[in-house]
Amino acid sequence: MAGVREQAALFGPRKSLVGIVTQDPTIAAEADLPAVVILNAGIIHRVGPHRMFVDLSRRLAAAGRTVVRFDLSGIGDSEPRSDSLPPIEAALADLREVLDSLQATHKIQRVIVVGLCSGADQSVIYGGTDPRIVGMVLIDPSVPRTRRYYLHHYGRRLFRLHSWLNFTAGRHPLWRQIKKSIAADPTEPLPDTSGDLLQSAQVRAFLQNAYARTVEAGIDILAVFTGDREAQYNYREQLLEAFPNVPFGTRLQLSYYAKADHTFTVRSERESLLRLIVEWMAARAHQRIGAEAVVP
Amino acid sequence: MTPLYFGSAKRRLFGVYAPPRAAGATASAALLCYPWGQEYLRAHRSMRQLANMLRCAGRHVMRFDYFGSGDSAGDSADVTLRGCEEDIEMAMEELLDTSGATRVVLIGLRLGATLATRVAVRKGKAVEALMLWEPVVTGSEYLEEAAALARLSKCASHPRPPIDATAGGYDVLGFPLTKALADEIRAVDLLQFVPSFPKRTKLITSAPRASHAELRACLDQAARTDVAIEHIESLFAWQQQQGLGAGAVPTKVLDAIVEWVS
Repeated sequence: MAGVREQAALFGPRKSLVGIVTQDPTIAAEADLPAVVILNAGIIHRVGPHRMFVDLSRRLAAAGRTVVRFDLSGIGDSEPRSDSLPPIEAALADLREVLDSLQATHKIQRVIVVGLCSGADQSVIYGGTDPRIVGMVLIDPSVPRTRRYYLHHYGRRLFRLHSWLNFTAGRHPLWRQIKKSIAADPTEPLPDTSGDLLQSAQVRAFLQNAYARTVEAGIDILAVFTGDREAQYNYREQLLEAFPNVPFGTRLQLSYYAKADHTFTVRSERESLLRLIVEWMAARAHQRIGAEAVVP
Repeated sequence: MTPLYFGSAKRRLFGVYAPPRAAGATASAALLCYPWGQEYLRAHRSMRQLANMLRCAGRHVMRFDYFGSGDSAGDSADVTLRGCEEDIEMAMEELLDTSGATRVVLIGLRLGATLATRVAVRKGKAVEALMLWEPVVTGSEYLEEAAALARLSKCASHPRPPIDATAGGYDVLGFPLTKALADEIRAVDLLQFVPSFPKRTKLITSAPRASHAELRACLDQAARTDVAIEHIESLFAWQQQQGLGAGAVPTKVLDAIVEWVS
């Protein structure tokens, strides 16, 4: 990666969003590929978990891409916004401002967004609203549980001695739920309802619309899931079955890392993920991904 | 606040420089030295907040990523303690050049504190004061903790650290602890520098560590009554909180650092 250069940059009208632009200038201009913008994973700053976004940026830059990783407002080195937008709207506004800056300074008109966890959700929500987005890499995005999820979930437990021992000894979560509902102790910590919230009709409809918009916009999607999120999903095709009315077709490629944790702590798993992303983008480069996108 | 790359072509470092907030502030400067590995990632929030507070207190402030860490050039496996010390010296020069200050306060967290001490001892005249925030006192204790963390990893497919965990050659929560780095860390002994600590030195601890008691005893033995010591109960900046991948921002500790530096 001898020719790859990294430059610090400030984005947005207030120059308050801090990012790093990675590219090999000698091949980026000639390659004319969509740029890549990498979002924060939760509140971890732009280098990403285990510095994986730095590695990813360099590999993609060596393949001819211009890559930008930046901190959303209030995260990492970026200043908080001066308006009072709620967190999700603020993140979407930040992303739009970064794309506007890149369009103005680097003439970038087609972008693939990469997001892990919250970054994946922000990508899904934003994707279909901006014609500059031509691709998305979603790592552990939010997906509602499906009938098949529950079959897998309980099916696996049915054959585990440990689950039966817990059940008969009264330690099974079901018993704890029953006990809680009887006791109704107000001092008990609130249960994590994030997974349950995803099951609500309103949230499902919201996500379905967001995915439908991305498909309608012709955005290619690589969706990666990890076994670490078993409480939320546990098989490769869950995204398809959660939103059966979205005509993903060949736009969607799915991958499931059963043994990986949410942030790909294990080097071999992380290496495999980075290779997958680079190869997925390379395959779409030949198809001139998003070449027909309308630039505002 | 200015994010920038500096250093040599072979060793490009990323840093963030911030001038004093108030106009006409004195030309005094502070350089923040990060920890290594996962501790670096988790402490980033606190170090950024500390930099902002120091800036508001009238200091020129710079923080930077060691070669092979954060946004700096190099692979994660390229990190060496000797290299990190060179980086601190390079960042000091950059800060002095940029700010016009003649001396800097070195503020280090965990391994960063230990490295800052070595640099302070070597570059005595350029160092106004030294703040040791939860320093790594003995390399062996640090390596044992690192190995314990690696063993705690919940990934079934994660290769477990070898029996001789202090030899390195495995990952600590996603960051490679190479054999070369482990060799350097094993040789870390902060106690030998106690007689050479700058006159203005302060130690802040939060975690109960056996090595901190050793450091206190060593300071007593060396009659270094000029070294200020404070234990502040707080959450740790360098450890993950609530599975969020980032540490807490211990405001009491940050307040104490800024007050002492100012």
